Amino acid sequence: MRENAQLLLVSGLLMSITVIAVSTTITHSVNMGQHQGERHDLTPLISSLESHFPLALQYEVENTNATSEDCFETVSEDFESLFLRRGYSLSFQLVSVTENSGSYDFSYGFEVSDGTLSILFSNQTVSF
Amino acid sequence: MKNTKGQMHVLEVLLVATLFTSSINVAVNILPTSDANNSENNDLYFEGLEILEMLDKWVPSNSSIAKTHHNSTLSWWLSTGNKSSIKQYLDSGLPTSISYNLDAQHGDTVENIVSRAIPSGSVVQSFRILWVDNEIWDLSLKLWYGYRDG
Repeated sequence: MRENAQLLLVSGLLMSITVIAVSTTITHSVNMGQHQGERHDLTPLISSLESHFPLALQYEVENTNATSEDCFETVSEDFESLFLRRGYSLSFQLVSVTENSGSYDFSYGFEVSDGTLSILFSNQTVSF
Repeated sequence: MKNTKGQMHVLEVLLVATLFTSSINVAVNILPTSDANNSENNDLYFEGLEILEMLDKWVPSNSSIAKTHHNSTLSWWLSTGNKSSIKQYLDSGLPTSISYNLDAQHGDTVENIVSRAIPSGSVVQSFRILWVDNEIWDLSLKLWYGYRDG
């Protein structure tokens, strides 16, 4: 009777280990399959942000009466929503802004992500 | 006798477990991976992103034009409505097996830059956001594999 119980216990343990191994294998294969061969390249998006965001910011600052912080927020929200529409997460953060006799120095960072790859630029500056 | 019987049971269980694991592994391995149908579209998407990026970063040879349009040929051509040059660039830059349609949205205006009938099949949409004529322009480049008419 005792031997039967031991046998049952060992069998149960073996089956449990087997089920865990199989489910782990399946999960791993499915995860690999979902991303295998995918290309994650944010370079074209980053070049777009580096070239055109400062121009939009400069125009907003020079042509509205809003504070420089509000201008930054307006322009960054425009870009963030456009990127979101295309399936990318974009987030700007203003670090500092200084104004000196009509000249502006913005220091900011941004993070862009396609859901798998995420890149953070923490030290961007623009002066005009 | 009882001990032998018990060992046999253990061996049977091990055999069943191994067979079960093996059959599941074989089944998973022969399944097509999810990217099998998407890799071409993925390539097409990046082809679109890169060709727009190249035109954007292409500095006009005339320094005055380059300065006015922030060193971007794409901004210059969009600003001056030079749709034929954009079409010519894309026609020669994209492989002939790829057809496309290019739209631009800026402010409340949506304009067609290169017009082609979009097929009902698989179409990939690349994009580029840029600053032209004091407005944010959102370019949509729809790409598909097929005959390029016109």
